[in-house]
Amino acid sequence: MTTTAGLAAGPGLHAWLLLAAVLFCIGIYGVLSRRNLVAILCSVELMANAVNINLVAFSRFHGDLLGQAFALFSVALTVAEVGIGLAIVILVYRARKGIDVDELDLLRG
Amino acid sequence: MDPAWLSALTFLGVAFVVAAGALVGARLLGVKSRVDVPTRRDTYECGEEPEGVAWVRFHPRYYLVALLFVLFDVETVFILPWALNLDDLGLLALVEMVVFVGILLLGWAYAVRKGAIEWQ
Amino acid sequence: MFDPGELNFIGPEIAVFVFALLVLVHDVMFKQRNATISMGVSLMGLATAAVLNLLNMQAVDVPREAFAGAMAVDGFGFFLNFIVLLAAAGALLISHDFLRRIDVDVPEFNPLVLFVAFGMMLMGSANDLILLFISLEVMSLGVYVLCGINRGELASAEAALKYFVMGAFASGFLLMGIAFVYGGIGSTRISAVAQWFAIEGNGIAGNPLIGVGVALLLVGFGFKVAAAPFHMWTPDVYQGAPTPVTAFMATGVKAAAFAALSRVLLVALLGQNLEFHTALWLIAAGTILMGNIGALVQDDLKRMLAYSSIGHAGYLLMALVGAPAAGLADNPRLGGILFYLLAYTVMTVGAFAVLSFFTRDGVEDTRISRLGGLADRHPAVALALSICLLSLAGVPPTMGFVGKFYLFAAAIEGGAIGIAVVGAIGGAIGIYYYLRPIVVMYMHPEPADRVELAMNPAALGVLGVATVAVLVFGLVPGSLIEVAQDSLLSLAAWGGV
Repeated sequence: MTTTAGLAAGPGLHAWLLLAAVLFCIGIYGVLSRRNLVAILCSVELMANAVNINLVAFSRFHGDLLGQAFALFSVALTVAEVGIGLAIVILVYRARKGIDVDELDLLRG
Repeated sequence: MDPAWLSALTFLGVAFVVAAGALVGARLLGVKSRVDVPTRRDTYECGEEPEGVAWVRFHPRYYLVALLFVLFDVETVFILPWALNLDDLGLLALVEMVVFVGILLLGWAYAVRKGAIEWQ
Repeated sequence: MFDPGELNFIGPEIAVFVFALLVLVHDVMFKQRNATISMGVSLMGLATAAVLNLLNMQAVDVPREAFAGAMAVDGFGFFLNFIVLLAAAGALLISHDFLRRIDVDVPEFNPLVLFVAFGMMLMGSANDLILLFISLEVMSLGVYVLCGINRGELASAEAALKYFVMGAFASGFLLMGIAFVYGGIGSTRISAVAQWFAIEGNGIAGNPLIGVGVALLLVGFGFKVAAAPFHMWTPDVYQGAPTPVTAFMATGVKAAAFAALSRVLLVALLGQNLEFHTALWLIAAGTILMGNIGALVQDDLKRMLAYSSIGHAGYLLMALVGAPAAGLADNPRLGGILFYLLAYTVMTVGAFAVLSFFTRDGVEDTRISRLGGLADRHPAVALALSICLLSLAGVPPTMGFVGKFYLFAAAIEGGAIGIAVVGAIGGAIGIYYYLRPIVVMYMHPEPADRVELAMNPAALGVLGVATVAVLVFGLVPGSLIEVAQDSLLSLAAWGGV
């Protein structure tokens, strides 16, 4: 089932996993620490792309196409997600005239 | 060392040498101007004068058009593998793609009807 | 190879989707929008799906795979489909008059509800993590938009934004989890994960990839079902979203996410891995306590119901802790999970139907103090709301009591006494805060600035049906419980537990 033949000419699986993990963590850090909504969107995108790297790397590792097919779906879904995210950001901007998350404190308790 | 890594390293080295060489060469061969004229600090010394600052807000209309483009653009990632393998997949795959594109077209018609593509 | 005959199995989903497109074309393309026709066609779509689902349920005796294993055709999925269709119908009927009152004229509302229902139904039958993720996104993307549908209201936009950020964040975790599970075993089928674990010597200890994958998967699901410690977004989002949307989120979204989580846990994880029980134990205990304690101090009924919905997720997780290692048939009381999801849907939709009456000048006002004197002005509505709230509290003879009884029984029979004690503490707290609105309705005077309740036939109908159902199935739950248990037992076909 598992073949590593395709990887002989490049860095091993662990290198890709490391890259993806770093990207994913940068994304998490961005979502948690950024106050600008567009920056948060970018960070979410970073997380999704980290997953895509993982999927393709695993796909090579297993020698099947499942991961790559999933990556295609993941790309399309992420685009739709960011599209809606931007629309919501514009909605908030129109209602509030600003996109700083710290100012969004209407709902609490 | 793995030959693949070796060639990558060589590539990196060449890239570095070329870039550094250009900078060092310019420093060695170039003529230094003695006076500091204001135009030297412009963005384009011999070109169009820039107007305003680069950090302006863009109108959301750009987002709308860009989003529509990206959404429909990304759907091609499903169509391309399908097109390459259509011979093996047979008639059923054709029907499936017709349904898929049909739904996409409906989305497009929706966007048009909503006036999302008009540039007021 | 794909067999067109298998399309039968997604007949209900296709029906909902096609009707959603029909409504969209009717409402948007021809600008002669007629709200009543649009509502009628949408409900017709849901009814068609329900009939198709019933036919499938009768035709399929033995669980089977469809679409090359991507979809599991089993009683579990059929049962969830019914819950989703009920939740969608309830939300649509409540929204009919409500949207007009808060001055939201958005032709996309009904189609969006149908699209979301489409995603939810697929989610319940997904046997492949890829299909699970896609259907989850179809559902979530629609709900993000629904949350912000009241464009003039800042609270609505804020709720949409918070839900979107948390949802996208959670999706990232879920996706990463799926990627690692795939990396670990080379397949994304839930049943394949179960088979992999069933092989002697295979486990988390020897395969860090699948360990990381499962952990990330649980975090992602934790966000989606609002389990502690990933529940913080729930009160804000539930309070800010328009009431019909909140009703839909509390019922449909929760049921679908929980069904998917149950399938993953029961089929693939719980049977072979005792270490998951410990993690689940902690999550369940935290969820029960955080939800119920948070609900204690709320002055807004909508926010209180949001916290209590966290508590209810905790009870469901509690039952899962009792999942036996030997096989599902060992603990048939687990069927209480499906029964409780249905009961929770019915009583919550009923409560939100009443909440939707409380608007003032096009703005929602759902503070508990507004309920004062309701028993004098509208005794029937007050009684119905009381029954729904008592059912949520788990007081007999209601559907909520029966469901909760089975959840506790499942946990205790599975040997999880400790978590059942935590659940009992949560339930006791619950009785207190559910009684508070009832006391206000019956004992407190009307608020000085009284506003006429915006009652309307559609929402009243939902309330009536919900109340009757809560009582009837509370008194004679027998056959429904049996169906729920059979449906849950159908999961045993996929291996695992």
